[in-house]
Amino acid sequence: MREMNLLSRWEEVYLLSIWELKDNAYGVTIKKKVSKKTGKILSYGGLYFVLAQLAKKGLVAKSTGEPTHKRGGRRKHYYSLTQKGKRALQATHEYQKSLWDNVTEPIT
Amino acid sequence: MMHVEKKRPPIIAAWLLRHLAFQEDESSLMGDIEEDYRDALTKWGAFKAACWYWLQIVLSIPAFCKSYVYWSSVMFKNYLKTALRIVKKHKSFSFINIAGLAVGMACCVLILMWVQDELSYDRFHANHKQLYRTILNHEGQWYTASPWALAPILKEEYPEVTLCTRYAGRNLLCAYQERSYYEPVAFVDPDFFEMFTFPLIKGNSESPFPTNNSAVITERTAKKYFGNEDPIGKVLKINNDTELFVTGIIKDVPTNSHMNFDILAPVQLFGEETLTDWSLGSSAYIMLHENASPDVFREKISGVIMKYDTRTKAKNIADIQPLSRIHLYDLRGGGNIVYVYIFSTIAAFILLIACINFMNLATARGGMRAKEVGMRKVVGARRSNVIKQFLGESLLLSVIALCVAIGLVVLLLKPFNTIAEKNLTLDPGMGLSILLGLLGITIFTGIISGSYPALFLSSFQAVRVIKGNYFKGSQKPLLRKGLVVFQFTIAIVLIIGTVIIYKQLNYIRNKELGFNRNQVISLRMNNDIRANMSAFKDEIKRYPSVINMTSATSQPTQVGNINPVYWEGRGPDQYETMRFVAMDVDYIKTFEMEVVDGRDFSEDLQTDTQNYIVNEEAVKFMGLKNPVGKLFSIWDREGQIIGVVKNFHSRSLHNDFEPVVLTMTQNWGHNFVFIRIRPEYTSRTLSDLEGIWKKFVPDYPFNYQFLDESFEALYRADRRTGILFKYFTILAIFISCLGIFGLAAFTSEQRTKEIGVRKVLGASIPHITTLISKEFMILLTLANGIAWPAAFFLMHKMLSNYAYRTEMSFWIFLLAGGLAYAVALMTVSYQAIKAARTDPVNALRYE
Repeated sequence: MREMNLLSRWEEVYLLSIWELKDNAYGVTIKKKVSKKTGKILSYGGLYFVLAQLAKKGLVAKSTGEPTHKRGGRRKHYYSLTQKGKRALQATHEYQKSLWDNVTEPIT
Repeated sequence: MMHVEKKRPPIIAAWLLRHLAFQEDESSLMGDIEEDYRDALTKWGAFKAACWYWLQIVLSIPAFCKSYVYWSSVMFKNYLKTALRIVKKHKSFSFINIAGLAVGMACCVLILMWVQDELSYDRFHANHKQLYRTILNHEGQWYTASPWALAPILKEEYPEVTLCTRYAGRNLLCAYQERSYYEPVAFVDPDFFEMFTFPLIKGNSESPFPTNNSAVITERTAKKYFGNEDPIGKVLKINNDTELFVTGIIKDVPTNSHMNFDILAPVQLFGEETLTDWSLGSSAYIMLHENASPDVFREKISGVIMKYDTRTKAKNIADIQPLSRIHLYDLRGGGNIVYVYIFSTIAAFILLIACINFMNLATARGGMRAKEVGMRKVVGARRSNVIKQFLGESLLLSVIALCVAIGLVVLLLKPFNTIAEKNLTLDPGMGLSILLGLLGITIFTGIISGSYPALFLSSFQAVRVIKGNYFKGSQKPLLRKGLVVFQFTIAIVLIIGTVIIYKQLNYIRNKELGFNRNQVISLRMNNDIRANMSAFKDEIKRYPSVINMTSATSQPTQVGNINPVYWEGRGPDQYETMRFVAMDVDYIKTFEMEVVDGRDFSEDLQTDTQNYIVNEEAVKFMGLKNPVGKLFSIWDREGQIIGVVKNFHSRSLHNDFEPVVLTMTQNWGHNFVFIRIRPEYTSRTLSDLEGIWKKFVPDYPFNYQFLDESFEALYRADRRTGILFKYFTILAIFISCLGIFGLAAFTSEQRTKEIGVRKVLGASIPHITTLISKEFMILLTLANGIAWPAAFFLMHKMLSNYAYRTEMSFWIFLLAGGLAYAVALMTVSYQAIKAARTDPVNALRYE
């Protein structure tokens, strides 16, 4: 059952956001997406801390984009899911489904 | 839109952000915030946008901290892993580094403990800052003794003095039932207990001396005499004539006290006449009021002795000396503080030598780690990261070395205590200062030894290193060579120092003193012997193995009494002072002194008890042409000079010859009996003499001392320094050799290929050995060149402490240099021969 480490809820939200953003997943958009999903105000420091840890675990990959004027001439870092990231997301999803599948009675 | 594009975020905030953000994400993070900022700018205007920018930073701070800690710990794990791998991979280098550092640190710790002990002398007294000893200056000469009458007058006349005590230390026979031993007894005033912190365990702290026949004894004395009985109220018999009641017990006197006594008794036992006298019979201590300025007080009392002492009109200037300086500073200059400085310097140098080893080996092996540094830089390490890594590595090694060093200290503490004549202990409660010292030494060692390698290795350029075009280890060895030269310079100076100190001690031991100190035993005089002197003398002299005997106030090397004298052509008001010995007839014969003019004392001439014999120095001092027959007086005791003896050393050889007067009288209380015995059957002679002694004075133990032994005791401190110096020298050489051993190993490793090629082309083993050793020999020659003048200068200063000194012959310098060469050659050639003997096939195949 537990052959793969399951993601934490925060990791799940981040990975899902990146997945949904497709090719446009970089700092600003990820932050907005995650904020919308969770309803919490995020700081950029916190955002990058989580992203760096996800990268270290090999769940996301980074690629650099073009520098723009709007960013003070700095490049964007685009994030995308790695194979490992995708598998982790799937596994988490399946696990949750399996958890709920056995619940037949509605929780009131 | 153009307007927004041009607008920059707040400068300070941006700067702050750049420095706070984790470096890897810094640029994209700042880009993101700036993008958002631009949007905010169009929406809300400049002020609100700036606030928003600031807010982002503030909100991010916890995350920044978290990520800093997180990534540091990640990198720390990596550094630690690398460091441990390197320690494991290069076992011999690591051993050399750690062993060298550990020995150096152990040495430092021992010396630190020793220094701390020296500096702690007399500071355990709660009032030590207000306590002073009165001292006296007579015509430029300092005396630690004070007139008996001085202390009470100071207390009476000067409001600054709150308490005062006299302190007369004597070695006296103390007896209780059948137990009788000589004990250090101190006669003091009642204020003593209030001034000094010698806590009373038993007895009345209000008045420890209820009567003049009281005694307060230390715990160990109580145990020694009374065992488990209650000592209070018991009677100790002092000198077989005075009975003292034990009224109190104090804790044992700590070893770091300059006063040393086991029994305290009231000074009033000396009697009123002595206590109001102005002769220098005791020491005195005073306690100044908290607010009193010692400098002002010194000014005020300088003339007090001359004012009250109407008898001598001596120019005696009174002065005071702080209690905590007594142990460390001699009044004549120098003192134990000199040893504190010398040994601290040596410890620092030894640690430095060990650090140099570390630096040398680390930089020499820099080439091996250049690729690692290059890789780290390529994947994003900054120079500061590399510096931190290498500093961390050296700190790690020095922490390991510290653990080894503590083990060494535990092992070496006992022998060190024996040599240094201390009682140092390494217990957990030994105080914050030692712990801080240890920590300080560790960090200091780690940083000093790691700094150069860290700066050097971190300066590698990634591109060049990866291309293989990096520093090869032998391209820039100037500093490394300089450090080797420095190490050996110190080692050679220490060798020369050791040899010269030993030579000086030997010289003193064999110096002609002007009398024969061998085969003379001294016995302590007592009243019972004094009463039966002539019978005792007859009996001793009749014994066949006794050559001669005499009694006197002191032996020739410890003439202490100083008195005013005047001679023909001068009146009592034009007096000078001289040291003098009061003695029995045959003093000159017993010590085999040489009479160069006039005659010796004779028992048959009644007038000789008023006459004097002086030494050559005294004749010179008085400026007399024909001294024999001239009138001479000590105090007002007038007589004639009947003879002149050859100069003899009246004190230790630190001092020059001094004018000395000998006089034959029983009046000045002879303290010693001296007996010259034949060298044959010494032990039988001694036991027979003991028999005679017991027949006359059964109550006194037969405690004899050979004069040559007590003479040696004068140089105990010098000998101790010599021995410590010797061990430190051995350590310094050992550590230096460890260093060049490592360097030589490294050099031969670097030149494996060269050696292989040379061997293939026909070079012999000796040839290759020379090739490798040559470099080190050149360095050693340089070290000698620096060390010789330095050692000459330092030793010249050291020897100037002695009035009589050995020469600094050239052979000592040659010997020290040669020794350094020999030891260095041995270590280097081991590596060189190893390198030369390797099969060239292996050497050439190694790539």
